[in-house]
Parts: sequence; C-alpha cells; structure tokens
Amino acid sequence: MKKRLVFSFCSIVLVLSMILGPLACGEPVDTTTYRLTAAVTDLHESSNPFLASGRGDIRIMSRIYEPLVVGSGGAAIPRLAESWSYDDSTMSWTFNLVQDAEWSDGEPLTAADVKYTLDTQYAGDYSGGGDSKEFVDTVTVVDDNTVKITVTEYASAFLDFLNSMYIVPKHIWEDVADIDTEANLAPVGSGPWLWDEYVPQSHVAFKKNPNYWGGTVNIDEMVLEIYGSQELALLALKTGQVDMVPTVELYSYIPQLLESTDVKVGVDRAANFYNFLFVDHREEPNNLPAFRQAVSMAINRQDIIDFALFTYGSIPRMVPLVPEAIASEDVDWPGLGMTDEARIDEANAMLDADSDFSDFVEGETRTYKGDPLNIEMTIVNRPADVQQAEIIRENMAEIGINVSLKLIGFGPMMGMMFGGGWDDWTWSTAGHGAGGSTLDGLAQEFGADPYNVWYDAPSLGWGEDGDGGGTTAARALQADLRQSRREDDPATLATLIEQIQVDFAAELPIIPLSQGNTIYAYRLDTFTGWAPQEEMDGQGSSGHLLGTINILALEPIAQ
Amino acid sequence: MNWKWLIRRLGFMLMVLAVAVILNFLIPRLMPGSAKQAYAGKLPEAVQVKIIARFGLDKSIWEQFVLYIQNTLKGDLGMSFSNHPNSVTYMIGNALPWTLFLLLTATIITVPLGYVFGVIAGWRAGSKTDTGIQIGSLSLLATPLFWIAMVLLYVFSAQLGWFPLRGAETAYSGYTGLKWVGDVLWHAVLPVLALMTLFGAYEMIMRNTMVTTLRENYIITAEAKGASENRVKYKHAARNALLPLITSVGIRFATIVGGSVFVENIFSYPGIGSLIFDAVISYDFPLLQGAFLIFSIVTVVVVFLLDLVYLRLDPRIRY
Amino acid sequence: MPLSGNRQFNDTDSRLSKSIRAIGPLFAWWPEYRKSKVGVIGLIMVGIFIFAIILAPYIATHDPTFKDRDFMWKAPSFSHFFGTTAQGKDVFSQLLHSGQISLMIGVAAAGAVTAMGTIIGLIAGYFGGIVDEILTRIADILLVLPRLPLMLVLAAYLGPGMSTIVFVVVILGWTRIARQVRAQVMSCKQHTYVERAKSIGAGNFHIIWNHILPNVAGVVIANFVLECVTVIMLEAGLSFLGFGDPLHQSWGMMLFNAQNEGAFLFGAWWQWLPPGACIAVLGIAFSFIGNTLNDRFVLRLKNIKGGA
Repeated sequence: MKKRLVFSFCSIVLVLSMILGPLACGEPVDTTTYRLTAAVTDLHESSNPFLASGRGDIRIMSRIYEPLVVGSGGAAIPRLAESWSYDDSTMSWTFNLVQDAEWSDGEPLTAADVKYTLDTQYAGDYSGGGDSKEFVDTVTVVDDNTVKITVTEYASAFLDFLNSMYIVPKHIWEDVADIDTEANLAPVGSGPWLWDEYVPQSHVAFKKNPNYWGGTVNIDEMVLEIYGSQELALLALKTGQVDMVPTVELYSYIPQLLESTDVKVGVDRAANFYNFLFVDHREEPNNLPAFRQAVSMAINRQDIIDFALFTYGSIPRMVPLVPEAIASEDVDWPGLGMTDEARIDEANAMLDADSDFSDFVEGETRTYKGDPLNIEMTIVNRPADVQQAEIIRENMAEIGINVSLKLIGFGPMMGMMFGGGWDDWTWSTAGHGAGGSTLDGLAQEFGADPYNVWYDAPSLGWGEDGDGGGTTAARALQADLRQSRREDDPATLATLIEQIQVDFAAELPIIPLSQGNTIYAYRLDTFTGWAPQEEMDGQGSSGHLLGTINILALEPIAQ
Repeated sequence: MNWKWLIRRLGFMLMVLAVAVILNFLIPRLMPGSAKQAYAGKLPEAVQVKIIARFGLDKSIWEQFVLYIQNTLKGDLGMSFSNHPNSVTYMIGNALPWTLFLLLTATIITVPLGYVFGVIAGWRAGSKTDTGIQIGSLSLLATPLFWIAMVLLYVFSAQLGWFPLRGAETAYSGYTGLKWVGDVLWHAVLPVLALMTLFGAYEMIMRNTMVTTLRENYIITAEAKGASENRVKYKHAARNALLPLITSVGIRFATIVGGSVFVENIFSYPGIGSLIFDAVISYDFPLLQGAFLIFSIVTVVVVFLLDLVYLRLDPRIRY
Repeated sequence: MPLSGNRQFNDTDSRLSKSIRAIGPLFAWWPEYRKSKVGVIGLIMVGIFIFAIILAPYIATHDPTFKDRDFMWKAPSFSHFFGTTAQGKDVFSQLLHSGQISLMIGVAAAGAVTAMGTIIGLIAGYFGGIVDEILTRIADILLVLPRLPLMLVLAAYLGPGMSTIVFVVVILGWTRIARQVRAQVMSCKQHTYVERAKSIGAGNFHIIWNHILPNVAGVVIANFVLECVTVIMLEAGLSFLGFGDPLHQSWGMMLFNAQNEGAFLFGAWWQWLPPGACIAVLGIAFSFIGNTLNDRFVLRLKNIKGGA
C-alpha cells in the first residue's frame, strides 16, 4: 500500500510539474539586449581553427577569428590585412595589417601572429589555406604590421586560399601542448564576436566584442541554434522564433515561406553552385568514356531541376566550370532537346555497343565483364540531394544500372573531400561553389599542377596511364586548361575555351547535373540593414548573412 | 536478503557488460573495412597516427585487445570523427544526463499507468473495458514511435505552438533555479509523451499476468472468504502480478533506449539518441560504438536496480 | 486439440497418411479461434490488406514513380485519392505498391527470425546441459543489450539496403521466440511418449520432428505473427534513419521521403498520415491475430469470451 502511494505521488508530482512548467517560465529575457538568432542544421564540429572544416565550423570560426583577406575569384575584401601587393621580381606577397587590431584578451595583434599561424598551418598539414602550402616558400615578419610571403609560383588564387586561414594569437597557441586534440573551448580571437557559451548539439552563443577594431556591432548577442531538420529551422523562421536561416536547402518549403510578409527569401544567383556526379575512375567501368557518356545521356536534368531543386536552378552550360560569359553556346549537352525515351534509347544503344556490357533487358541489371552493375552512390542527406539521387537512380534503372544510395552527413562529406577519403565511394554527388567564375578558378579545377582543389578530376583517377583509354584526351584537356590561364588574346581564348568544352564533352571526367541557386531567408521585422548580396563577405556559399560586413550593418528594430 | 541470488545477478550483469565491450571490439574487426578505418578513418592524418598508436592498431589482435580493454577502463573510447577534436567520452558525458532524464521520467510515469490499466483490464478479462484497453495498448504498440513523435511535434508545436520546436532547454536563456526547471520540463513534455506510448507493453504484461493469477487457488479462496473486491484486486492479485511487470520493465528498458534514438532526433534533444543518429549519418564509428556501450551500461544498471526492487517484493527470493 | 495439441499416438506412418492427417489440423484451430471477435477482426483486416496489396497493379490509379509537374503537393481529390507528394507522385498508388515491400519484408524477416528462434529454442530445450546453458545465456544477454543501437552499429558497418535491415533484424531478434520455444520443449520433453520413443531407439531428429515440433507449433505460429509487427516497425524505423533502399519503396521509405520533403510541417498530412496509419493498422491486425492465438492455444485462456 505504501509503495503504491509513493508511486502515485511521484507520478502526480511529475505530471503536475509538466503542466506547471510552461507557466513558470515564458516571460521574455531582458528586453534591452538585442539578440540575433540563426537556425542552422549543421553540427558544430570544432572551434579549433586548425582543425576546422565544413560549414558548421566555418560559421563559428568566422565569428571569432579573421583571415587576412576574404576573397572569392580574385576579388578579395580586406580584413586583417588592409592592403597587399605582389612583387614579381622577388616573387613575394606583402600584406600590411590593420593598425589597431587586438586580441580579445587585450594583447595587440601583430605580424608575428600571422607568421605563427601560417607556419603552423603549413607545418602541421592542416586544411587552412587550402593547397597554398604547395607554393608558399617562407613567411617573414618585416615589422609589427607587415608580413612578407615568398612563393615559388604566382597564383592569384592565393588570396582565395587565405579565406580559411584564420589568424590565431601566438601567445596562446604556443603553449598548447597538442594542437591536434585541442578543443579550444575558450577561444581568444580578433573578430566582432566573443565566444560565450557552447552546448554540444544545442547551440553556440556569442557576445559582441566591444573593442572590435573594425567598427561597432549593434547587436548584443548572437545565437546559432542547431535544429534537427531544415523543415524545423524554416518553421522557426516563419513563426518568428529565429531571425534567419543562412542556407535554405528544403526548396519544396519555399512557397510556404513566401506566404509570410515578414520573411524575405533571397535567391543568390551570384553564388550559384554546380551539382556534379563524381565517378571513381579507378574502378571499372567508370574509367570508360563511353560508359560516362551513357550515364550522362540517361540522366534527366530537367527532372532534377523540377523535382529536386523545385525550379531553383537551371541546366548548366556545357562544361559548367567555364565562365558563363565566355562559354561557347555551340557546344551543348548531348541529348538536350531529345525526348526522354529517345535519350534512354540512345544511352542503352551506347552501352549495348560495347561487348563487355551485357545487353539491356527491361527490369534487369546489366553485367560488365560478367559482374552485375550494382553501384553504391554516396550522397549528403539533404532533401535536394536525396531527391536528385532518387531521380538518378530511376534513370540508371532505365539503362540497366542498379544504384543504391548511402546517405552521409554534410560534414563527413566535406571531410571525405578535404581529407582525401576518396577510397570510400564509387559514385558520389556533391555541390560545389562557382569556382570557375574566373579563368584562374577554371584552371584550378583541372590543373594537375601546382595545386589540386578537392574536386579535381585527376584525383579521381581520371587520365591515369593504363587501361580505359581517353588518356590522351585527358592530357589535351589539361594542357588546354593550363594554357587558358596565360592566354590574353580574346579571340584565341574563345577558340581555346570552345576546344576545352568539346574535349570535356568527349571525356566527361565528372558529370555535371545541375546549376543550383543559393537561397537564404531572414525576418524583416527584427533587424534592418541586411546588406545586399554583393557587399557580403561570404564564406563560400553559406555565410553571406553572417558575414562581418552584414553584421556591422544590422540595426535592431525596437519592439 | 538472499545474497546468493543477488551475486548471481550481479555476475550476469557484468557478463552482459563484458559482451558489450567484446562486441565493440570485435565488430569493427569482423566487418568489411579495416579496424584502422573504423577508428581513425576520417580524422586528420596527424591524429590518425596518434590513434593508431594509442589503440595499437598495427599490432597483433591480442595486443590490440589488451590496449582496448585498458583504454575502455580508463574511459578512453577514442576520437569522434564528426566532432573532432572532442573525444567520444566528452560528447557522451554532455549528452548522458539529458537522455537519463528523458528515459527515467518516461519509465516512472509509464509503469504505474500500465500497472493500473493492466489491473483494470485483467480484473474483468473479456469485458468491454478490457477490450477497449487492449485495443488501445495494441494500437500504441503497433504504431511507429517516430511517426507518433512527428505527429505530436506537428500538432502541438507547429500548429498550436504550445511547446517548443527543439531542444532540451531554451538556448542561451540564462534561466536559473525554478525557472530553469520549468523550462526543462516544458521542453520535455512532448518527448516524454512520445516515449510514453510504450506504456502499452506494461499494460499487456500486467493484464496477462492478472488473468493467470486470478485463476489461482488462493485468490479463489480469498474471494470465498468474503474479502472485498478491492482487497482481492490490489492486495492479492495485483501484488503477485507486479513481479513479472518489474522483470518486463527491465527488458523493455532496452526498447525504450532504442526509442530515444528516434524521439531525440525528432525533437532535436541533445541526448545520446541524437548523438547516435548523427553518428550514423556521419559514419562516425567511434561515437556510435561509444554510445552503444554507454546505453548498455545504463540498461544494465537499471536492470540491476530493478532486481533490487524485485528482491524487496518477492517473498520467494527474500526468505 | 489443435495446433499445440499433444499427439499421443505416433506410429510408423507413411508420407501419405501424414499428409492426410495434416489437412485436419490445418483447419482444426478455427472453431476455437472464431470465439475471439478481435481475432476474427484481425484476420479480416489482414485479409483486406493482402488482397489490396496483391491487386495493387490493378487498383493503383497511377504509376507510383511517375512525377507529375502539374500535381505537386496537391491535397486529396478525385484524381488522386490520397493527394500527391512534393514531387507530384500519387500517394494512393505508392501506398499500395509500398505495401508489397513492407509486407514482404515483414513476413520474410519474421519468418527468418522465427525459424532461427525455433531452431535455437529446440536445440537448447531438447539437448539441455551445456548447450542449453550457453544458448540461454546468449539469449538473456541479447535481451538486456539495447537492440536498436546495436543494430545501428552493425548496419553502419554493413551499409544501407534491404539485406542489411533483414540481417540485423534476424541476427538480434530471435531471443524472444527461442526462450518461449525452449520452455515449451522442456515441458513436453517430460512426457512419456518422448521417453518411450527414446527407449525404442528413435533418433533425436525423429523425436524433435515428430513429437516435439507439433507441440511447439502453437507458440511458433503465435510468435511469428507477433514478430511480423515488430519487423515491419523496425524496417520503418531503420528506413526512417536512412538505412532503407529507395529502390524498394516501403511504407517506412515513404515516411522517410515525407520527412525529407518537409511534408510533416508543411501540413501535407495526406503524405505522411496514410503510410503511418497503414503500418499501425496492419500491426494492430497482426497483434490481434497473434494475441488471440497466444491466448487460445498457448495460454489456453478458455474462460475468456470476447477479449483478445
């Protein structure tokens, strides 16, 4: 009897407290502090700038730390360096630092910190600075505010690489015993925000840096809240629980968002990204150009745009990495304009022509040299990626290729690409920023030397000597790409570009799928001064609204 | 106190833990892909070297086993791939209190509910009330938990706005004391409600045992002697039916632990369940295995505590 | 005495007489079973499901994979009974076709689980001794270990797909049935006819097949039906977590897609309500049948009139 009483008492107390819970709280916090809340779905991975990779980390890094310059496609925006120059005779870059920058613990920020950061990044083989370590020779301190960096080769993309090179305080990091395992949970930085609270899987909160050298922030606090799904994040935006969603990935939800007059949905056409299908050339039959051609031919790109991007995208130009402005319109997708049936028939005919492939039988999986074509495709578990993958899978089934999907998180995908984990997959889709908006960017994509960015085709095994053929074409394409960097005459360049497009179309080392729009959303009734897109110093395609320039411009609306 | 029985149970629990630890050791080594890949695959190279040294991944399997046991006993479960440079132990340490809070609250509310409904249903087996309760329990048991959780979230958070959309507490609220407690409870309502659908299992067990108990001789004797209905119902019948219920709480606890994976994920609750989900989509093997180990420990501890309760209640073991 | 009835007289019989005898018990359960209203309702419900699913190609109004640009996320109407998904696929047709996969996986995996559980239970119960000790310990341990997290660990290593789901469900799901079968075997091993068969030198296999198996059939069948519910739910859960294969659209995959397309919070209830409800209703129907079998033939609760 007594036990029963205790039992019932306990349950009554619990139930009561659950009912009374909402009543006990509910009053707003202090109304005089202005807080900006952003809903993100990526995980926080690390606040150690040497280990940061992936979007979740960069969002945090760029609040606390700053790079020398922020740039994309050669158009760099000054940050800790107020000016810079390149001297061809000494092959060296000189960066002049801003005068009054200081660390959040009061120490001044000097050239020694910059040297320390670069040296440590390059020595430890960390991901900051991209592949610039391939050509950076030495870093020297000229005086407190000047750094000289000598290089072995000129590359305007150097400024792009500096994006992710977050300058850290030497006096703090010198004492860190092991950088590789340092969690850095009390970071000292130079950026507009001070790290205040981190709750794993829940949120990261920042307070404004009252002594920020670059100006005054009008917002007192910023909280990045982690939401379980894009769906929830967008709902929170619609109901006013958060002020912004920096990256909208659930395209099907956008019409719903547009219904609200308090919400602005921006389409950032300047920050287009391309979706590719990557195939590992080291595995048969991926190395056969005819196989890739058939795969590309069978893919229904219009379906991807309509049903995965929900019309927030378009079919990419042939060789999407050629700058849109100079790309030749004469070279287009084989299969464009054909009916769906005709494309599938054509693709099937291409595979049937090769005797290594078994002939197509409706509803059955083809074999290649006797092995059934079962291919696992690794994709990010984002709505659009899954929908896109499903369309590809359906298309492949129509030409007798059985594709299964393996879902991974966005962070791991980035880790796989940056961390060189190419061995884990056969096919993979991923989006990539418009790296090819300049010729230099274009050359980066396919140049084997001196630096390879993560998505370059050679690292997938394309063009390797030996089996598969197409090696000559691969070499020709690479040579043309390298040549295009040095070509000044517009007419010659146009011919060269067209040749590149033709070669690319013949080889298809990676298979472009679609060109997507970067979409962001924020509320209009909590803050004003959202900077227009072109003024934002975005980090890749994800950080526009959180960029420093925008943060400085934001004014809270008094409620 | 029957010490022999207790020690035997304790031995069994330790055996379960040993199996969990050994499974954790064996699975990465038996599955496709190398153990190196499972422990260090997606870490920066410099860290990989350290992990390989720490777990002796290039040594013989026996040396690996010894190192593995040593590390596990020290609480070193390796490095999380997706949360690097945070260790698995750090991630789990942060998440565990929330999960325990959810699981225990749900269990503490659910078991008495199942008990009461089971007694009511079992007392008049075959009546309309019984059928109604049975159908209700079966329906709850046959509906996917994640679906129930999504519906709860849709109705009460998205549509009505009564409860928060995410999390275990208001982010960066600065609440303290009672206010914080209220905030936490407010956030826990829907997740706990979702987990409470597992109450059907307890009700069914209670009811079935009641039915068999009621046919026993001593109940019939008690009834014949003119004991009041409530006395027979609660004093005689239900008390005996309580024992199987307690055993089943232990067994069902492993199921509720599984349920927390879905519930925490849907309500963005920062517990081990969410960690497991994140680990799954990240193929973060060390974190996934660490979470499995910690769940095993939690289950074993709960089952053992229930054994103690059992011991207090069951006269056959007690004397 | 149907299903679990003790067949006391087992003579040397020909295959023919065996099969003739088998037809009798095939329907012998019915008079007892039909006394349970709930059980009959469950049977009818499962019947309707199987009927609809088998005839899916004829009942379905659309091609379940066809994406209609003009009908994206449309509410239920006469042209689309259960509306369309964000991609313009017909939910009603999808539901019928997915039902095939869900039911197939449910029955196949539950069958495998039951077979494995029965074999282990028979071996443990019949041979006893050290074999029994080991198998029982393993079952006890598996029962306490958190099943879903262990499944996820295994599934993560094996990669996604139907075979992974079935594998982890079978390898970790046999314990309940094994325990029950073992208990049943232990009790009927005591019977004189088993002793007698042993004394006249019948082989172990012969005894198990002819004397023991018929007696545990009730437990096995009741548990098989109940296991179907568990497996269908587990499949849905694992698909929801991303271990499913879009090639095989089950109800669980439909829910995964619904969540992926944002249907839950968008308010596209027609996209997520039907698959969830189907899983629930089919599960309830199986539970009704399983519980009735359990009550009538395993627990022998004959005094119950209406209840399950």
